[in-house]
Amino acid sequence: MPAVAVTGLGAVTAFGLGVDSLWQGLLQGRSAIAELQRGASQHLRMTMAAEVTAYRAEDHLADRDFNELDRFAQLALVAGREAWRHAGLLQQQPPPQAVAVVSGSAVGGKESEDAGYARLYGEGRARASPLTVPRAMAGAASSRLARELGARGPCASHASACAASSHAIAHAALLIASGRAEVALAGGSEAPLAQGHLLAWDALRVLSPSVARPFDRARDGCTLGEGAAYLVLENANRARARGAPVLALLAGVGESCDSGPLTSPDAEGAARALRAALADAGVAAAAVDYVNAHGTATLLNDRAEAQALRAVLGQRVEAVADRAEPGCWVSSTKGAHGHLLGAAGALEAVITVLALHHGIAPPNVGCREADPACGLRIALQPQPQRLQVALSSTLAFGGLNIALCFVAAR
Amino acid sequence: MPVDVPPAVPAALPKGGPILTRAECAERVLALIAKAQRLPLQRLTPQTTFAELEIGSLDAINLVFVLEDEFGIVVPEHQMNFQTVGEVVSAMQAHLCGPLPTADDKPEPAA
Repeated sequence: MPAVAVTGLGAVTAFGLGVDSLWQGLLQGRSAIAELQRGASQHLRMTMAAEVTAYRAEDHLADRDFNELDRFAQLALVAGREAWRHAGLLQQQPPPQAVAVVSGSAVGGKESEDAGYARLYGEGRARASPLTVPRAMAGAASSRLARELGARGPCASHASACAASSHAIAHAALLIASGRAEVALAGGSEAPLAQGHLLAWDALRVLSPSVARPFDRARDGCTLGEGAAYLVLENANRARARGAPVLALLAGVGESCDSGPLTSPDAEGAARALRAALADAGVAAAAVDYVNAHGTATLLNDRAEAQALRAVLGQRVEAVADRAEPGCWVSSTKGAHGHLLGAAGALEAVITVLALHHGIAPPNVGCREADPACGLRIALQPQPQRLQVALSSTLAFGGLNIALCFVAAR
Repeated sequence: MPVDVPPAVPAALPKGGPILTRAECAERVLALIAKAQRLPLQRLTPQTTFAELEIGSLDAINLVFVLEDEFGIVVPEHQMNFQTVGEVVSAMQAHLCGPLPTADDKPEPAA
């Protein structure tokens, strides 16, 4: 794939509004996970989540947005605006037809659905709110963002579970690489902390009773989070021509499907996606300096993912004492910002770009003692290092694997 | 699963007579419209049309929803096609204050 420039980033996370609060939190090794408030109920075993508490709708919405937008689309609007502004595109508006918006959300407007069902089944009301459908539809975020940007090119949404926003980024990159769009806002958003939906996650028994500790020997499950993250992807020649600061290049995309059970990970499928991303980027495995792993902190995911990373990247990624060459750092940042489900891939792509841009591999927050059964070279502290090539790996229910290969813009 | 449909009788209307005067009802309806649509109260007169306020068809139905919640009533489908603020106020008065002004009612203030 011809490399695509990343010229803007935006994020809304439990750390706060904006990319800066996220990056500072990560570098401080903090976790933004706290006691669950939204959607809390006495029937839940989970008690912790990464909630966006800094967001006040009054500060961000146009009047009609209050009725029309579910929380997931509201958070998307805030993060998308930040990325667009960061790319300098408010001043340098591209032609509307050349702008694409592609967004991902695994579950859509769950808070609105939940409130509607509470009325219908809980209170015995006869009618549902007429705004339930526009609020709940998973495509609301991309359409509202397109309206915000005046974008009139391709506009699409992906709902492929926890790979949704990685697929959105891949879709946007391919639109640019093929000349179908010049600029794209790509990413995802999720607001899954609705009571009924949380009870469903609880029933899956993949949630930690405490907090997510990816790749830790004593990890006991993942912690859900809410938020949104967007990247501005741009034709690299166009970005240079307008003098935009290029934060990194998206050089390769690799996708695979396990073609197997819906909910169990497969190391071989994950490895195929990683290899495909490297091949697409024309980068050797020996050149990879950092991997932002999916690392949900479930026993099975982390073990299978570690197996895939070792298979593809070899010794570089293994925990070896007395290493001669610098090697490759691995971290899952989900212990810091929680698992954002459909928005996870976009948030972790943002973090991967920040790692390349600042030359720091962010720490695997929550991991105290790296699991020897995973055997990975986990960044327990922030690791300043010249980073040239980084992978962001996403594995999802449905046997979906996707890896994005970013290279430094230097 | 059968869902119990509440009868189309205003729950807020007790047997003894209306609990809201027409003026009180109008005041509460205007306040609810203003809040639901995030509009300044001053923009709402009986003649103001939904089109002028940029209240679309979904928002209009949502407004009925808000009013039903507030007053504990059910507005039949055929009564939902409101075009002006005044029509909403009249409909709510019909539900909540009885069809005609009662002797106890204070006169409506001149807008």
